[in-house]
Amino acid sequence: MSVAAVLPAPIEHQRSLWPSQWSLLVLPALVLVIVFLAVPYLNIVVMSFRNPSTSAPYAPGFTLLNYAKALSDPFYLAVLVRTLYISVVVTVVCLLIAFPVAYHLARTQSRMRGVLFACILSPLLVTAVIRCYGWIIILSNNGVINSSLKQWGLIERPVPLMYNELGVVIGLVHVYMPFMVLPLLGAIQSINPSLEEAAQSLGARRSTVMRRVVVPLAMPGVQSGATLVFVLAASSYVTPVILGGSRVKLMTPMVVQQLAETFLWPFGAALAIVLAVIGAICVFAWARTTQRLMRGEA
Amino acid sequence: MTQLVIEDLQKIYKDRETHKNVHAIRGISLTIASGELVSLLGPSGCGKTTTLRCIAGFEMPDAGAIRFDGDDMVQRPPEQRDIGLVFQNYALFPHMTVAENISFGLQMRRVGKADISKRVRAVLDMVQLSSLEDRYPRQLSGGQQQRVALARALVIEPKILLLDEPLANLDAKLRDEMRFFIRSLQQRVGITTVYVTHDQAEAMVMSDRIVVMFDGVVSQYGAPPTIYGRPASRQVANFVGLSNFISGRIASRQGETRRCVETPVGKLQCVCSGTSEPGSDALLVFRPEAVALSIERPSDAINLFSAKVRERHYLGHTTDYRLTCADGSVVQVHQNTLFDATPGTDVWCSFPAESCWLIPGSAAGVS
Amino acid sequence: MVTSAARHGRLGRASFVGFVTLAYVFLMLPIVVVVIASLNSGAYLKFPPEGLSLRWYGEFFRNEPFLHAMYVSLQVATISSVCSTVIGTLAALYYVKFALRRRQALRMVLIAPMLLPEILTAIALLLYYYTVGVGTKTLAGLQIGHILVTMPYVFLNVTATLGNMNPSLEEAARSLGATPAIAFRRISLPLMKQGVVNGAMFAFIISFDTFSISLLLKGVDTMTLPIQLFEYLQWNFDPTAAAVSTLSIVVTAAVVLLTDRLVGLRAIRF
Repeated sequence: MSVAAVLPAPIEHQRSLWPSQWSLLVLPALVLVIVFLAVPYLNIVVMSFRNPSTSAPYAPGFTLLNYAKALSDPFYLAVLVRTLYISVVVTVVCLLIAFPVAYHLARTQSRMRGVLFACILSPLLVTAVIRCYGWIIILSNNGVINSSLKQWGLIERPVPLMYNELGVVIGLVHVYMPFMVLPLLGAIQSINPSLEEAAQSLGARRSTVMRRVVVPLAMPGVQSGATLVFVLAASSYVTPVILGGSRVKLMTPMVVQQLAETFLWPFGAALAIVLAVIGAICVFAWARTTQRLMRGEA
Repeated sequence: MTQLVIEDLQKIYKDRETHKNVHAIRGISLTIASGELVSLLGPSGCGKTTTLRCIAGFEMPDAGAIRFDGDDMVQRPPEQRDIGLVFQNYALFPHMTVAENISFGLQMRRVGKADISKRVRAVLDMVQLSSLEDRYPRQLSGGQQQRVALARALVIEPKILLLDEPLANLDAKLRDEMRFFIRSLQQRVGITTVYVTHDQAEAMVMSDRIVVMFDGVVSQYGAPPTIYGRPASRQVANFVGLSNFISGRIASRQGETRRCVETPVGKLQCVCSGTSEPGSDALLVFRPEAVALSIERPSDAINLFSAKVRERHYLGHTTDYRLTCADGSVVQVHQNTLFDATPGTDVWCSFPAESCWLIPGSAAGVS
Repeated sequence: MVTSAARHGRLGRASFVGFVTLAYVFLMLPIVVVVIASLNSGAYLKFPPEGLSLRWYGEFFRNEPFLHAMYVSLQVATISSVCSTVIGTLAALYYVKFALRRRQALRMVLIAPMLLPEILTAIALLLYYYTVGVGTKTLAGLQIGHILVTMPYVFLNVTATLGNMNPSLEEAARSLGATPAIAFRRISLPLMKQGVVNGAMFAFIISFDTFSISLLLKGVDTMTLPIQLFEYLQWNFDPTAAAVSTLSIVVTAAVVLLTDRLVGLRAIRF
């Protein structure tokens, strides 16, 4: 009853007159999403069961062989495992860097706050290609780091910083950092600072306050940030190609290669779906675990 | 000048989550005289806001009639009802200046430009905001926004002025000032006004008459002294100010409106509406400030009983005593601060029969 | 004991601030480096630059493929922005004002293009276009892909402004004598302007910067700037790329600043 009284109640005169006419407003958006998203996704699912062909992208009839190949060939399995491994590393590193940054930004009284916030956001406004290009300038064999080290006489030959997994991880951490900071920022901002003061007044040290109060209450932010970064990293394409070169093989570039260069559509589709499903399972497992953790804390 | 009549108004909501029907208003009937300010008073969820929204036209009642001078408004959309509405959050248009906000209603009525600016200036004068016409709402204080909202509602010279908890977002001191401001403005303009509030003090100060509502029905409709001194039920007495209750049985009839009631603290004299007969159950209600305390037994007092001081709290303008009677019941009493009795002292209580009101057994039950 | 604790606290505080500072350096470094490198006067990508000059910007304006890609990118981003804004705003209006049942499901459907990995969407669209028989010969397929992934940003921005709008405002207008249509035009429409313009800005920037969709759906003649840059970087590291990158950053920054001047930027929340 109290809810009903407070709710901004509908203006019934106009509402009961033509209920369906207004749904025309949402029609273009629905058509767009259905015709150019739902149907194409359905199409790759169907495609992944097609028979492969040498003369055409696919042959008539259906088969499970594409999945069998994707899940049994040690080469593809190794690529899949490497992709998941790198994604986990990127997620963890992002979290470790982003948490202090988000905490600082959430609590700072500084006049620089707006500028700092813009620093977090601005990478989002620059295409990944350019950001990776910046890393080439920094990491390559005659890049900023190696040439400085050489100039100071610390090294003879350049240290390989890119075209390996290190370069890919650095690039991915940088590209997806904002997606970790923003959810954490939201979560930490919603923690009342007096909770921390309360914990301190009860005798907890700063580190204990962090561990026992801030981190548990920021868990929702950790959860969504980690999910975002993991999914983005596992499906990343530009960064591994530019900073990993041909030596670091990850799943998405592989799928694109199968489809766009060798035209193995059914197999490429199966690979894409395997990656998507395994990614979804990881996200689901992560959500379940953190959910239990959060419930335990609450 | 418009008379507002509400006849057997009903409103049923379908709750969006539980899909159950919620009876928000169950048959309200009211007559509000022309030029009168009537408050709808009650706890949140009692249906007062829904009633106001039905009058404004934002809710379609499921049954009943709403008449402005005899014309039924129920089928008319809000913009054709000629009402002035002030919202709790003021609902000033943030993208318009004060002057533009106020002229909006006049523009809708196709008033000429020159006339608009004349009327806007006059109404700004009336609410004492003449210098602020070019400000935007966000540049105004809460009290100023409140007065702009009032001016915007009044400038169209509506038939009925509706105010939905207009003072709820102001701080205590400003709220006090605005009470008198709104009341004197309303009396000057002489407009029929419905005022929704959950603050009983506000309703007391401002209203000609008060409608006390619980659970979608009108519990009592009357002038402020009647609501305070002659509450229709225990619920009303509890909602409007502090009360002491003693239950008992009517012992004898002493004229049309006076009864003697047998209670655990002795026989008490009280007044009633005239229908209660000896032998029936009754609940007596008297306010803390009606009781006089004394250390010595007064010789000529009626409604006299003894009690022991349990707690004493100094409130500044008065002292608040909690007393325990012989039967263990607790009575709250407000005394002049010159009287002083420490906890543990035995004191005598007495109060005039006119300050003790009898609620018949049927209305006494609800706490 | 007290003093050691205090020293501990200061040390901890200092290392915390130091770490955060380093994190900001890490975030900004590649972008700053690209801008500085574009001003290099030497022939190779050297750091620090050998001297300052604008010669690589000159290179860009003589480089036909880059100029064309810049043109394509601006065109695609403008069309995406306009179409997404119309489609997304209408959908948001329906969602906030009229959708009564299954609102959550409708919302999920409409923001799905943003939630799904873009590369997967690109793959799905590529195979779809070939299956249907359209292929990637024209710009239309790529354009639709861009509208698809940018529309949710408009939808979310407009829903948020409409949702934040005080619902009493339209009622106040009605009580003052405005019909529902006039109340919408005079009150809600001006107030949702900020959300609409911000949504349009996001749509433009995302379309201008997006990679996967553009890469897979590109035709012979329809490479956007990020793709052209990507192809160029496969073989060359010379500072022309830095100049192109800087110009691209300037375009984005200009759009953001313009939005801020017009209506103010809305806070971004996840």
